[in-house]
Amino acid sequence: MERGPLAPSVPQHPPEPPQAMGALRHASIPGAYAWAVTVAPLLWARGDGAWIARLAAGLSLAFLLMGAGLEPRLGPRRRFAFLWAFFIACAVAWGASPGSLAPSRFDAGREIAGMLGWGLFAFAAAAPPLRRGALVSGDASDDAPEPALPSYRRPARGDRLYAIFGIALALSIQLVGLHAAIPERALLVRFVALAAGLAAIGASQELALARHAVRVARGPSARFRAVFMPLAVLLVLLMAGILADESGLVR
Amino acid sequence: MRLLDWLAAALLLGSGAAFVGGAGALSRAEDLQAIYWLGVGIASLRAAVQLVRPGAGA
Repeated sequence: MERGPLAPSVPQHPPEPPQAMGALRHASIPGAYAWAVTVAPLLWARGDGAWIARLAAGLSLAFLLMGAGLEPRLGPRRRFAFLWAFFIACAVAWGASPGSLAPSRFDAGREIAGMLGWGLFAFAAAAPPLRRGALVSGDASDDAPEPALPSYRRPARGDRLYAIFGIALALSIQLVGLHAAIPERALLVRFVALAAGLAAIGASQELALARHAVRVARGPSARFRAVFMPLAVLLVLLMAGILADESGLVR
Repeated sequence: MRLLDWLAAALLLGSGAAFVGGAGALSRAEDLQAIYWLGVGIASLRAAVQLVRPGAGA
């Protein structure tokens, strides 16, 4: 493989791939989404036992964030303690505020959004724990993996910024279309917004990881196809939109 | 950061704006506009990722 002009700046140890992160850390984003949709409203619960619901709702988010933050130090067994603490606190919050579960309080859009959130959380949390050493070295044997070098464990400079950028973008997409008139329409909006948010987070991760990849020098035609073709498709779409708008086609 | 990294970040931001526009149009039941903006968002997202893929560097 021939190295490009930026090859000398490539770090000796690439950043940790997202698959090597813990299951709870992976699941924290859909977990926080599910919490925000289904448990966060209980923070404003009123009536008998409301303070228990508020306390449990706050504690559940704290357990989720603490578990995700401390996962590298905790190990797999203690990680599940935080996972179950999150579940139990959510259940206590719902149980302490039975009025919020009355059918008259149900909102179809929020219900389905909550189902999607919890489904994604379950899918991410149930992902098989991938061993860090096996992933990095490609060695799938049962031997204990060698400890990673200190520089490998540190996130590269700027990667955190990419992650924050992607999450902020995903969250901003979730704020749109919260007041759709029809429940089915609200459900579709939530589904599209959730998919778009996940795509934005994935793309930001790809952008962050691509900064550390070894650049491969290619010919001008391959470079043209790789760089300019996607932009050309985008420009054609934008031009078509402008033309359609000016001709009154979409009104 | 190289120029392509900045361009990719701008495209990612643009895709987010297009997705916001698409979701907004969808909630207002303007389906044609929603499809258009979501298409622009997907194309922009794809362009952002393609720009920074190894081998695409200028």
